[in-house]
Amino acid sequence: MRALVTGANGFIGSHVVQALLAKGHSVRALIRPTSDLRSLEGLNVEMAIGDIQQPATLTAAMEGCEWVFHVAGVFSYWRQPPEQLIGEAKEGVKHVITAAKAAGVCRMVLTSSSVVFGSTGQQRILDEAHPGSIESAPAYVLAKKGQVDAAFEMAKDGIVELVSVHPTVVVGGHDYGLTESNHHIVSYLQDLFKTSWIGGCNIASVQDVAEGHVLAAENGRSGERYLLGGENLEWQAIHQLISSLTGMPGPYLKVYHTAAYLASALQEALSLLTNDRPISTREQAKMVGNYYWYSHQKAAEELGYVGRPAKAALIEAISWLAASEHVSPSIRSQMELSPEIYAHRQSFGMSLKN
Amino acid sequence: MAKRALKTQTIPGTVSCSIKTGREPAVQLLQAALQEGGLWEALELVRGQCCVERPDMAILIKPDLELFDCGATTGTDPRLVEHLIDLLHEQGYTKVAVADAEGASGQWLENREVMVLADLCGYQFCTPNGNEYEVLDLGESLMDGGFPEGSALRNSEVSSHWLQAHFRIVFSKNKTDQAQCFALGLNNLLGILPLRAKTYHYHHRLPQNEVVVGLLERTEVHFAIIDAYWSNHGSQGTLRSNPIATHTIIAGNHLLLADWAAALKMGLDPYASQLNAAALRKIGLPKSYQLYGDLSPYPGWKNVPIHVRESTRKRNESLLSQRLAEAWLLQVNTSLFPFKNILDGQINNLLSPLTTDLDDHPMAFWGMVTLNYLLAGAQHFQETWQILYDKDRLYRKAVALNVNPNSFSTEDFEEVESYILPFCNILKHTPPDRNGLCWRYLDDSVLFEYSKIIPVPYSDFVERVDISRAVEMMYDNIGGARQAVKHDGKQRTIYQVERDIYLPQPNWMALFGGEYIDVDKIEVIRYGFSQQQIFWRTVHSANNSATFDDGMVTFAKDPGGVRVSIVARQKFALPLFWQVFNIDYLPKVKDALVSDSYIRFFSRTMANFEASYEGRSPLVGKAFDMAFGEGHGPSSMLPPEIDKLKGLLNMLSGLVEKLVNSSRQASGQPGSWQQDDLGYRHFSPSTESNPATDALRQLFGELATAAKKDINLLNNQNQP
Repeated sequence: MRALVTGANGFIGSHVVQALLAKGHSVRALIRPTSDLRSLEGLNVEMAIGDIQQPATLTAAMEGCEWVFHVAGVFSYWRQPPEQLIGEAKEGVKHVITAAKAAGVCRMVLTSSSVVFGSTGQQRILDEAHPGSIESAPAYVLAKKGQVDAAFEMAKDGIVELVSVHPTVVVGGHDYGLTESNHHIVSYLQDLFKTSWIGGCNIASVQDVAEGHVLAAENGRSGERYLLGGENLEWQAIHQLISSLTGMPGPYLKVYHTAAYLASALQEALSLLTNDRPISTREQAKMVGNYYWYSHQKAAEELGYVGRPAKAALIEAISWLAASEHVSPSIRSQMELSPEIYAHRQSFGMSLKN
Repeated sequence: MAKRALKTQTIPGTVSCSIKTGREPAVQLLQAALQEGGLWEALELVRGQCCVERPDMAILIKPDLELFDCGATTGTDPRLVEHLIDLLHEQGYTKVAVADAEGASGQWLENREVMVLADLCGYQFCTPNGNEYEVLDLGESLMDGGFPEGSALRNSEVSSHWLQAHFRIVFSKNKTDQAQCFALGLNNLLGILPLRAKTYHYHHRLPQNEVVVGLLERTEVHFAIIDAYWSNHGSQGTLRSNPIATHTIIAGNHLLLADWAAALKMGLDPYASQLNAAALRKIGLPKSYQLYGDLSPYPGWKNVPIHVRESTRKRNESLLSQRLAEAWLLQVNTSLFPFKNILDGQINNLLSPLTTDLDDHPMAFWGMVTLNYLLAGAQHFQETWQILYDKDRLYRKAVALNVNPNSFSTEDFEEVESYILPFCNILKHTPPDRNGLCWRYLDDSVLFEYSKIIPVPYSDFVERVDISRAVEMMYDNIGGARQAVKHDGKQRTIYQVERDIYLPQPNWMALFGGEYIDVDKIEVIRYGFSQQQIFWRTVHSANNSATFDDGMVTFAKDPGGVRVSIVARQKFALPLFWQVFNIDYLPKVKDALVSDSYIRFFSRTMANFEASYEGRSPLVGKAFDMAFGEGHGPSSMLPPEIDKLKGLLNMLSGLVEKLVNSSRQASGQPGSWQQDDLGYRHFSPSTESNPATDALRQLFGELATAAKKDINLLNNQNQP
């Protein structure tokens, strides 16, 4: 099959490209003229210059493609005006579906997010049937929710088969732009107080999620939504895992809603002075205390998806992050990497050149 | 191909310096001093070496252009410079130019470009005798300065006007300086460096003392003149004109000797200036020299009091404080040199008059000293915080070697290994402590060994981690310099000299005023088939921060990967508090502190080796911006900290502005209106939202929600 991947140079996009190539598909990568292409270096892909916000560029890029993977999107809790985030997500997917119809694309896989299925205050595992609540949700959640609803609405005519995949917190290597999920790891390492917080999430490996995308294209039922996850853990357990894998102390503190909100507000204020990305934002603080726990049983049964445990996903991520520019030299010098990290690097022949 | 600098030298043994004092006009004193100081002999000597005719001999005069008003006494008198040009012309030396580079004040004042400044301050571009001369900008026509690898100025550029002049004359002003006590020839020489943000580049990015030594070593000054006819004295130094008639001209063919004589005439120790002290210690005065004239101090001369000097030196450790103080306290004729930004201008208007009579008004004097110490305290607090918690924001230090690599023989290098190896034997018989560290005391130094197996292939590791950089990769290295002395057949370094600067060890010593560890070492490197080693021994510590910092790092092939081991002997100077509070009386506490500190230091050093293997830089700290001050926008002249502050102030003022506008709207300004057929206007209420109040409302609303969630959580937990 020939597939177009939007956002192909991004974190998930570049891994989707690799998963497609590994299965013998040919790939066309939709990139912008200014895109950072480090994540696609050495891959046998055809480049198409375009932008999902510029419909005219999309039809030509999809010419001759049977599949479209719409991965492009902004994943940010910081400095993105909510209206813009939501508007661009909706408009982008509309442009892609319109172009796909015009270009005769058979099937489209939309990368959404698990957050559209909501969260709970208790330790409950949610699935695709759970109606997500948008009450006081961060802009990112609203954007994802709006995007997937708009997409299914537009694909109702069946001209293009639409399958949506909903990754959870995706971590892994070759994340040159440092997405929010990997930023969780980096910000925990940077945090003087090694703070953890209440609630939990589902951690997934980017390689599994990428593989899940291809499986969705191959085996997914049109009009269906599939959660792609890994393992459900409390934040405290996740932070303990990070500490043990990096030889860092902690976690020391566990914060609740008010402290998390105040600390995030302070971090945002400080970042105005330092111009650095804050360790956490008020948008993220609003999610503290919730359990973003999900089941990927449907994807496992219908697609053959396998999600690895959180520890394995974190090993993969830390192996790369420790050697990357995202971790400052002073933090790297405090890290004593566990033998599992070295074993992972050795067994996968991981390139350390960043 | 870049042209090399002309290298000429005056003959040792003919060094002389004339101090001419008298009631004669300045030009006559100048003429006499030049004669007695040996200008004409020096010119002929250099002309002979360069094989040029008098009219073709390029002579460059570097005057002190630190003038902020016409007729001010903080810079060289232009009339004397032009008289010197006439004298040179009379002798047939017609290729004479005046040259300078734009100074740091160009960052905050207009009209500081060299040509404009010279024009405004009285240079006529044609002497009274009708001899035309050029004023050259030493910030232009740059070429590689040719500074050696061990110099602080390595890779720096210098104007070809300066480097390729046959004969260089530094014509300085006789004046005091708040931080250095006096600012004479050596201080004036710094002005030839090309980058405009001089304080940033040649004081903070590179250590000023090492810059001036590097410059003097590389480009000889053939003749030095000090204009002390009208001098500038008192506590304000270079910031304000405070003239005193001293009726003296000092001239000689050795810059340091001329400064030496001028400092003695001020009644000062010639080593009182840190610049001069560094140059005198590194280069020194000639073995024999002649001083002609009266060395007795000037009557009525006021030097910079120690309180001002010390507080200014401490204040100037912060680039930001130095920049602000110099701009805000300067006495400047703003009709000639307007301020580039309003803030500097307003604060200068306010503060500068308050410090007019620093020498006579105790309130102004102590106010100034207190302000300096407050600024210095803020800087110290920030630096200590960064050492402890935020190392990546510290600036790395680009310094020069303090020792001459060529002064060490092969035997000196080879002896390092035989000095270190016996320590390994002692450590072999030392049981590890609870942290797994083997260590003992030896002559009050700590001898220890630490090793770790890194599970990666040996061949990959030694290919990626350069053993010759092992010492630089030690934890908390914040700068230094390295110069290879000898290579093997494969072009690998086998002997080298290295200077390393580390953060205070342990880091919390910074709270007690602990110094940076600053050591120069000689090193020998061995490359084997399954093992590489570097041995080092400290030969000098510029700030006496270390008595011993010697050791060995080994990378050895191991079944588990690479065994990295460190053997070292260290003894660092303790801050005063820990000298008084002798922890030797609490041996168990001391042992625990020593063990924990070294374990932390060396486990982190291992992490640095791993980071280097990963292909990333293990070095903490950020580099100075090499291009700072070279842009032309006003913001490019502000220190980065101010720029950030400006962003915050912009945001806050924007919020205030919106709040004020919203309160105006609320107090009766209507929204949009429509006019009906009868001419009545129908107003609709203003629906425009206000971002500032919205943001505040959102902040407190969300905070309340978060608090409510916590309270609910507590209630749920308390329920059975």
